[in-house]
Amino acid sequence: MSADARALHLFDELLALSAGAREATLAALRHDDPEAHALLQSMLRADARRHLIDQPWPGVPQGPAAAADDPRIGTRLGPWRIERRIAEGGMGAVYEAHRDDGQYRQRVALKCVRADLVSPQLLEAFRAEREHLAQLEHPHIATLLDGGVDADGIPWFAMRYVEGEPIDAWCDQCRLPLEARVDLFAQACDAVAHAHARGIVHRDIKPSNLLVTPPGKVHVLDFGLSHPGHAEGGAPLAVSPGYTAPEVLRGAAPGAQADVFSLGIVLARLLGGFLPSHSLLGGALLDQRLPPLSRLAREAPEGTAAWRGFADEAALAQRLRGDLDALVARCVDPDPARRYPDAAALVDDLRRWRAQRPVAARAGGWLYRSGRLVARHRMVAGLAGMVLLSALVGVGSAWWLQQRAQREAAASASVAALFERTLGTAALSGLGEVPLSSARLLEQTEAQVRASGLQDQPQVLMQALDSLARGYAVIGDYRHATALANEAATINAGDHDAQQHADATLASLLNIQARHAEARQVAQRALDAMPADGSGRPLRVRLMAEIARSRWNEGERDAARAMLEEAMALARQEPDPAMLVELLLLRGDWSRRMLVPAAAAADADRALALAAPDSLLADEAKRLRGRVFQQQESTREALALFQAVAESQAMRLGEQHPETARTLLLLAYAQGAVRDKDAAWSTLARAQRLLAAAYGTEHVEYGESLRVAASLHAWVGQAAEAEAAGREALRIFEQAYGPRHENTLRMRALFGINLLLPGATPAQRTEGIGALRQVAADSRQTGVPAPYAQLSLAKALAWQGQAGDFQEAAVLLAQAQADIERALGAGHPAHNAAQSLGAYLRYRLGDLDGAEALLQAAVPRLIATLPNNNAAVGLCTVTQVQAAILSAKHQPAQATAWLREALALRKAKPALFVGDTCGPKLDQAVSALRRTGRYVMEKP
Amino acid sequence: MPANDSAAGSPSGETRESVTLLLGQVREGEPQAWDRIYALLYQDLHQLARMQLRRHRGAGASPTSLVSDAWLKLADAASNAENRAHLVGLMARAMRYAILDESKRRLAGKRGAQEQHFALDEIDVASPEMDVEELLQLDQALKRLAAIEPRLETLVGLRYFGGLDDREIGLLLGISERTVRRDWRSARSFLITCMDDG
Repeated sequence: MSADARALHLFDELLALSAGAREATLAALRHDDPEAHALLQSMLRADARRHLIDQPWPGVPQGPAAAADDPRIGTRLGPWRIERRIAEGGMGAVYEAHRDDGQYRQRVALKCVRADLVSPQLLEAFRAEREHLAQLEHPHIATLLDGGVDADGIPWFAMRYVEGEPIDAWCDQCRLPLEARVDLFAQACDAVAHAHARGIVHRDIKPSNLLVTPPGKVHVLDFGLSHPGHAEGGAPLAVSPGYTAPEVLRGAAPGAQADVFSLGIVLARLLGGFLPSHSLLGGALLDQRLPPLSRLAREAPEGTAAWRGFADEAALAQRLRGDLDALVARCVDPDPARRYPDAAALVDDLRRWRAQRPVAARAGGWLYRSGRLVARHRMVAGLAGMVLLSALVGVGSAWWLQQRAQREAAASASVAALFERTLGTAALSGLGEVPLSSARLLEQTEAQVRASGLQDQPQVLMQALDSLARGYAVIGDYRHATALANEAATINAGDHDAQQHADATLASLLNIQARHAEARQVAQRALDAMPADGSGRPLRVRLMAEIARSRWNEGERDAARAMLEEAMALARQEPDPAMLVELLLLRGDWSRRMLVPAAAAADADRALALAAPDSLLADEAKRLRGRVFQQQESTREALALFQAVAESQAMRLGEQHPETARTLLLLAYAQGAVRDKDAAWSTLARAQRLLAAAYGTEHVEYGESLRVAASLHAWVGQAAEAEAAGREALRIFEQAYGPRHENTLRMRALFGINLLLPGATPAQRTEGIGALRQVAADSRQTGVPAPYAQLSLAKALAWQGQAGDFQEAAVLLAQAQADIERALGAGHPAHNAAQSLGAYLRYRLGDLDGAEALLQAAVPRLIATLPNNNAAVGLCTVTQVQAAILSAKHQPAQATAWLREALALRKAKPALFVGDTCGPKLDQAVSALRRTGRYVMEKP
Repeated sequence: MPANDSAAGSPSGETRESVTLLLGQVREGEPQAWDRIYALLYQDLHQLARMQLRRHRGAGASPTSLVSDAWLKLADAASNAENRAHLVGLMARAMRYAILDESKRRLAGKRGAQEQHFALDEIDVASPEMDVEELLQLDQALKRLAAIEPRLETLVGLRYFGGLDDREIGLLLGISERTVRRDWRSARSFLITCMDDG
């Protein structure tokens, strides 16, 4: 062991000794091990003193260059003359400036963005941000007074100058007790809540942004200004380690909950003396739950308790235990969905604590949930008022006019941008994480807009109508939304940017309405009108997505795919993955329709991974995944997913929303597939009502509900009702898409299949076969796989039992089997069903050995798949075929034994054979053998 | 190294996926995988070091953003605690080497001297930090420490270069805060002694 090692190991021991013992040990050591001794002496000396090594290497830029070197000092921006530099942050420098036009002295803090951070994207975000922030007026918010862009195109803004102490320093210096600290903090929360109600997120809450001036007034600085955007790739441009929410560090867009997180950390600091992490690497560990506040308080630095009026840290911890623990915990939960939804909810709970009432944080689920819904509506209440306000603000304000010279007219600043910000640019179809409005609010707003005499302000009117259209789309009133979007898009306002936005909205709505050709035209026209410089990527992606959607539904699948890939390439460059998510979902749905479940599942999974957790897009991803499960006949998984999504959408969007209804439809079908009849019918009834109300009874969405109804009827043997529903569904689809469209083919196939159920009349059989023949032919021509239709047709032909039919059936079956095997795998129940039918056909064509080989392979697989409709039917068929083969080989005893075994199995395991109708047929076969010693299988 | 410092290294999707792949290789026991991860982040971290050693305004993206860029690449990929711990340790080590490499370069270019001055009346003034020579001494001292107690070298790296506090280090290394404090006490005494001796 080296001297170093010896010294190091002894050091620990020495520290544990008393002074006397230490002296003695060292004395002995000097004699025995002089090298180690020398080291230890130095080490003990080092232990007693401070050293630079105690301070970690700084993680933020420190020590700015001498202020005198800063070229901006002495220059002017707008009417402000820059006097000195106050500070330098991650985003840029802050200066003190004064008004320089001789009118009156006004002191401001002026922020300039770093030159190298400026990009067109950033400028766009800044512009949008600034205009909303200018309307934030609250006693505790440092007002944004002015802003602009300098000669080099660098944005700047001026805020009222606040000379104050950061809130944590203030509280400690004044030795404020807990109650007073909470009151002070509540002022800050009120300010942030005010902004949240207007859809504005602060994004950089920390003590240095919460300044307190005497005699105790809080000013919140730097609203949203610290992060005017994200850099390429999604990293936030500047973060405050320790105060930034973990999801934001990972690139998620900050929402109100991110602010709540930061507020929570500040509160933990004020109440418990908690010092948040100052390293970003440490910040990565924040995914782990923070220990309870009371525990942190016990380990707080010296003086913490005293500055809060407690005798010691234990007493402080005692006071914090319980309500305040829960309150802070709800702020800083790593999962944003589990926090207070916004600052208003937080401050409500704080007030409850002050009033010594029970805090919601401890009450658990129900209060939290209802609080969340309320908060959402509160957000909207502000919105409706804002529509008019911002529409009017665009007129005549001096500052706006100042900016007009460089950019578009003042009106373009207001309404659309406001809605973009509050509704979020996420969703391409107008959904996404949007605050919901009630129809009434929208109607009132629309009335206000129309009454405000905006006819001579065409830009404003256009954007107001466009925004309203989106608002109506969000609540599901697609017809009204389309009408408004149409009106907006046809206003000739001469503002290209706004025009394209309006066109995008209109195209989305037209697609939703299944008016695909029109949608494509509108979107194409808008896309063609976009500037050639490649700017406006989000809008571009939106338009391309609508074109792709239209093309697909017009039957031009290759063109659709190509457009979608192009859109995806652009969407990948966006920091917010929401666009890419929607595109993945679109592509995934196409794969599902073309029976490529593996690709569909991959896209759905990827979309779910990218989507913000618990968002509407995440719900859609789950929904797609469920449909793929269904295709793969994993019905239980599908059921679970649909159930979850339906609940989530009912909560987020409301029970009446058409999207909820669409999910309910999927749920109803799945419930029917597992034979939960009552649930299936009641779910279907709800869904149908809602869809009729939302889309009307001529719309394809309503048609889908009829399709599900037809299936449910068919499964309980109500052939007449099944036929009626299916026929109506087919009619609607034919009308909407034309007779050869992929969607129509699907509907016709189902219609045909339902006509061929056991108990069908000859007339129904004939019509069913006709329909399926048409589907088979059309699908071959258009390249859409339709294996189920082929399978059903093959079965129907086999049942008909005419000589020529068997050959045709065999051919169809071979095709169907190939498709099924490729798409769904050889183990898929449909494949097994195909094999059973194949066995029967071989038998009828006289190939006994071939038949036997097939069915022997099929039987174990079929049994393993039970309970399952297809499997049960297939098993019935092969059981009879085997018996018939044995009989044909002059082995009646074995045939009977075989049949008896099959019957016994059904008796022994009724759960596997729910709804099975095979029993009587097998009985007939047994009695035929007993009577005649032979059994010939006629029809399966 | 890129000539233009103002281009913040942006984590492309490919890099993030490469890291995921490499982490998978780590799980499978592939020895070179950690080295390759480091290599991917090398550039970012050197830029980071450069930013921190420079004091001019307009020096480029903030060091904090670069760290979070690099972290984003990894955080998604590091699904379990073990990987995460390893990654954080790796980043702390990487930062140390980046800072030291940059310091040596500066020393060679004799630009160190200018950058030590900062105005004391600025509000955001930092606590004084080690200058370039001291950093190099620290590096040497750490090497000495690593020769006898590599565990302590990791701890120092996390604390000094990574900026983690005692609680975080404890969480990361799976030891109690008390142990962290005790270990730090030993380590720092040793290092200071080494640095004093020169």
